[in-house]
Amino acid sequence: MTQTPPLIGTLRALLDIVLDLAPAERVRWLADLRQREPEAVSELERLMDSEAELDAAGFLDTGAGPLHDDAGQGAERASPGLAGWRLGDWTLERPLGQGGMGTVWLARRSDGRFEGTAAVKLLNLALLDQVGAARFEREGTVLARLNHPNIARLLDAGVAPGGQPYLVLEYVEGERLDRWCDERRLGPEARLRLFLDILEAVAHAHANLIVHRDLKPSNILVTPAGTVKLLDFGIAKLLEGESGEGASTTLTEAAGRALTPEYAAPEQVTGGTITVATDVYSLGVLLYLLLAGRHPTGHGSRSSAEHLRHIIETDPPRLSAAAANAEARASSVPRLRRLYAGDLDNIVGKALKKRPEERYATIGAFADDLRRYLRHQPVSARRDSFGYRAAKFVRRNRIALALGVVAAVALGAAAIRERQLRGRAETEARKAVAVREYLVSVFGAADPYAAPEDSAGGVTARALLDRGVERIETALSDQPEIRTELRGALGRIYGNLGVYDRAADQLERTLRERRTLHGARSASAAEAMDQLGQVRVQQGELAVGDSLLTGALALRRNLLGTDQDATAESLEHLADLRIKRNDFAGAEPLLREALAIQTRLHGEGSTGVASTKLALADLLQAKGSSAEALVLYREAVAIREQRLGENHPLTADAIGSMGSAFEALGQHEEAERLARRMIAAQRRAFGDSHPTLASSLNALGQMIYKAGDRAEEAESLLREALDINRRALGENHPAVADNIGNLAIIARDRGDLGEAERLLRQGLAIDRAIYGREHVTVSFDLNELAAVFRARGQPDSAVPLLRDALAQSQRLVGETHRNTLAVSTHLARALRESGKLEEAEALFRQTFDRFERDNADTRVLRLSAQVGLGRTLTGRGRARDALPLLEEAVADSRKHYGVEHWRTADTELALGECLLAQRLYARAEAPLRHAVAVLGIERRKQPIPAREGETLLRRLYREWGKPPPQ
Amino acid sequence: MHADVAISDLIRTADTGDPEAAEALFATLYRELHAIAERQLRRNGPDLTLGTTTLLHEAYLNITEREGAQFVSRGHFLGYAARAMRGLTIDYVRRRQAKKRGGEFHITASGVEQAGDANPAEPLAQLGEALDTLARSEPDLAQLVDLHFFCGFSFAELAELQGVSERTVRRHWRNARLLLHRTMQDL
Repeated sequence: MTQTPPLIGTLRALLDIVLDLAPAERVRWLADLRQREPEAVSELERLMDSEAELDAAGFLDTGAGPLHDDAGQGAERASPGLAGWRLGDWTLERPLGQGGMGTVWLARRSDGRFEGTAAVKLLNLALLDQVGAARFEREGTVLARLNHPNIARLLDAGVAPGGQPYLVLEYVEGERLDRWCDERRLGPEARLRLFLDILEAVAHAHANLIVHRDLKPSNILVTPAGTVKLLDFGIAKLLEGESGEGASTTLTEAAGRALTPEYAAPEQVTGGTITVATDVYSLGVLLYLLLAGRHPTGHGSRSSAEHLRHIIETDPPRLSAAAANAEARASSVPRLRRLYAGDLDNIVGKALKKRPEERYATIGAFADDLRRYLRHQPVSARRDSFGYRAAKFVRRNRIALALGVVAAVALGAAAIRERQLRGRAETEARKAVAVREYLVSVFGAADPYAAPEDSAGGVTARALLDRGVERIETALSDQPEIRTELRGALGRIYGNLGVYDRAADQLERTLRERRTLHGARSASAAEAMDQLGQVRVQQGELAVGDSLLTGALALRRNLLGTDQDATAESLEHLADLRIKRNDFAGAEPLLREALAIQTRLHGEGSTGVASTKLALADLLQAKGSSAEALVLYREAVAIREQRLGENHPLTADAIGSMGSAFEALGQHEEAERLARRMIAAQRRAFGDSHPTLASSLNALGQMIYKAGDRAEEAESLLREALDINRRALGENHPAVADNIGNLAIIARDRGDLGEAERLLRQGLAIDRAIYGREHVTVSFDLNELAAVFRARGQPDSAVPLLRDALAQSQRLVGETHRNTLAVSTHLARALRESGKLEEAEALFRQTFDRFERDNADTRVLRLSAQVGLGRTLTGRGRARDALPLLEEAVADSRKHYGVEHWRTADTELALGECLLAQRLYARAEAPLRHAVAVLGIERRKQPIPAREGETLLRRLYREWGKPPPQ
Repeated sequence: MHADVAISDLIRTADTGDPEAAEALFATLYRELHAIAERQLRRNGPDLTLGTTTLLHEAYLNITEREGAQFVSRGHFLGYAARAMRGLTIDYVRRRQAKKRGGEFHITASGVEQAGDANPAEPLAQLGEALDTLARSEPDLAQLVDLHFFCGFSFAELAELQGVSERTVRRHWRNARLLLHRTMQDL
């Protein structure tokens, strides 16, 4: 008899398998096992044989059956001692079940007046202590008022003379909602209609100021006739007590004791206030469960402590991503996914928001959206975009940090418990996630894009990041998955802080790590490529950036498909790069595709759509379609203001861009106001040394200079920008060249032509190093350099530069692009100045004829062509033809630039010259005198017209034969 | 009456596998449950039918209220308290036996007092021993027996409590019963 019997652990494992097999399978499986483990199998068979014996003997058969469902499974074995007990009008007949709150009995009406049965709930006495007998009865009366076909009625409530509290409830014979649906293989639409019945019932209760607080499948039965019945309405509240405080009718109450963690709302876990929104959340969980076939936080594999943490912190996977158990829904998983993607995702997501105020405000609103969905109308729920999520990420983690010990301890406890219950490997995986989340949350707080309300200490953020990089090498050397995840985050945040060399360094390494870990053709590698590509673009390495971004896009299209956020993101990043390279034609279709994807995925009002609209508007703006751009800017700003708030740097961005559209349309005051708003927000968010701030300073400098002629102010803004950019980006960077170019323009206008030429040559060298010999930016540089030559009275030197610039522009952006037309107008001026009038006239006419007079978008261009044309005609002896053109030009210029503007003065000179040529001296005098007066003040900045004006005025009085007035 | 150490702290230490903490936790929980039972009996007289789940629930509420220990979830707490409840049940049944069915009180929901059960304390004590043995290699199964048999939680409740399907709980239950029976035979 000294056989070694199988260890209990072995038997346990084998039993776990055997007990789950169908009889036929079991025979086969055991026969197979017998070949190898005869001992174990005979022991198993002995054990299984004893089961019938144990059943017969009632071994360990307790009376603890479920509450309402599965009645009979052992309920009749519950203590029968109370049968026949009378409670009010009711006599207890037999126990139906028992649960944490008490025992449920089937009862019959004792007064004989009505036939009828009811379920009587005998509450645990312990609970009465807290509730208080009086309050119990009072609340019972309130609950009894609930009268709705889908709510199991509370018929009576009271306390028996012995002190036993009881509730008499409508007796419902039915099946749990989820099982009922699954067994009948109800499709999603039928499930939604059933769910709408539930919503109606809950809405009715809310209208009576009663919140359920414990909505879950086991509290919702479906009768054989298919009617939904909600059980235990308001009972959770009745039982929890209010520790002697407040009126009994209050809807809100501090929580802390969620009876059923799996359906608890975050505020029930954190001890927040219980409101109608608490039921909205529970119903969201329920709907998710009904449609997806699984719990949103996947409670199937988690301990309670971890589950609670998930309720507070983790956004559930989107419904469409979670769809499972399609068979019970008479469908297939792909079909369910398609069906759920979009509106249903959004609706369920809105009900499951962590913050009660972001959920549906009422059950009615929730039901409305579902009905709209069923009628294929647009719904109100919209999906979060990435930016929105990023902003919320920190907020959420702040909550976790505020909970402090709570989260940490729950996590620790969960991990330990998991180790006991499941293997070590899984625990480690969970721990890894925890480590990552923790670290990312710490670093996330330093990310200016994620933390709008923080006053930015760039130093602190840097120190934190640098420490993070050190730590990543030592602490996580044995956790490559986490390390690469974390490294990617570090790189991204460095990028957002404008520390591009470090960002590139970390992202290079991230990409290498991910290629090794997941393969070169993996989504995680594509993500790293995309991020690295963006940083390379920021560094001015456009070709490298291009190949990275193109690669990432191809991978994502391939691996993830088209209708994906990641794919849309890649499209945008690549478009961004093409815009930087002035490849507008190549960028526009990318952006339009991205916008279509975003709209399909998230709806019109999502922040994702806002970002894409901004990018597209930028492109249209760059193309010269400012009016169309402005429409998109306005839409984007509205979305961001609403979703992110006014002070968020992303909102600031959008506002700044809108400002630039106003500027292009000539609405300078509005443009400046918007730009200053943007800069203030950026200083708050980024500190004073961020290239993004520099770019805004540059833009504002340009803007106020162009609009209002405030040279000194503009120059100091541009110098600050240049300083920031040189420090942050190095010399050979487009932003540096831009700053230099703008400073050159101011120097030129100031009359410091030597400085202007020096700066412009500097800028040209940088731009040629970055872009090559042919590029819109290079052509722009040439254009500016030519202007300096013209100002020096060397139009012959300007002409070849301008011919080169024009040819480039025509090839790069097309004949009719406003840049091209601006250059051609400029060339025409230089030609006129060097006496080549015929060619000049043709060029001026080209531009002048192209535009309507009233088009604000092109008014400036047209005006300058008009003046040039008038002058050329005068010069060619056709002053009569020139006169109406120049008269109109002076009127338009006064309107557009103002009476005292040097451009208006310059136009007056042209008109005066024209009149002089026709010997209309009296008419010429006023415009000439006015122009000379204005230009006298502007002499240093506008030496050519100033000189020209004085010459013309002298000529006037000489030819007129009238002495000049003193 | 209560040890100075908070129960939530004890649970945390016991979670690390510290046997002394586990023992102290058991003793503390036992005292807690016992105190509640006695208080109820004093207040409501000897004929009171006292549910085990009620006791546990009240204990949990008391502790969370006292210690503000929201992070010790009910399920987690019950995992430990179930064993204390087992000890309490067996002791009460034994005491009642000693008083020769003096009609002191009943503990229901555990099914231990079925009619005609002449001497329930003896097999119960045996069961307790067998459970301790089973707990050494299969702690989760032993806990399941404590929760279902001694504490009266339904399979549906346990399924929700442990975050598994009811089907799984039932399978584990069958498994536990078979192995427990085998262990008792070996004793």
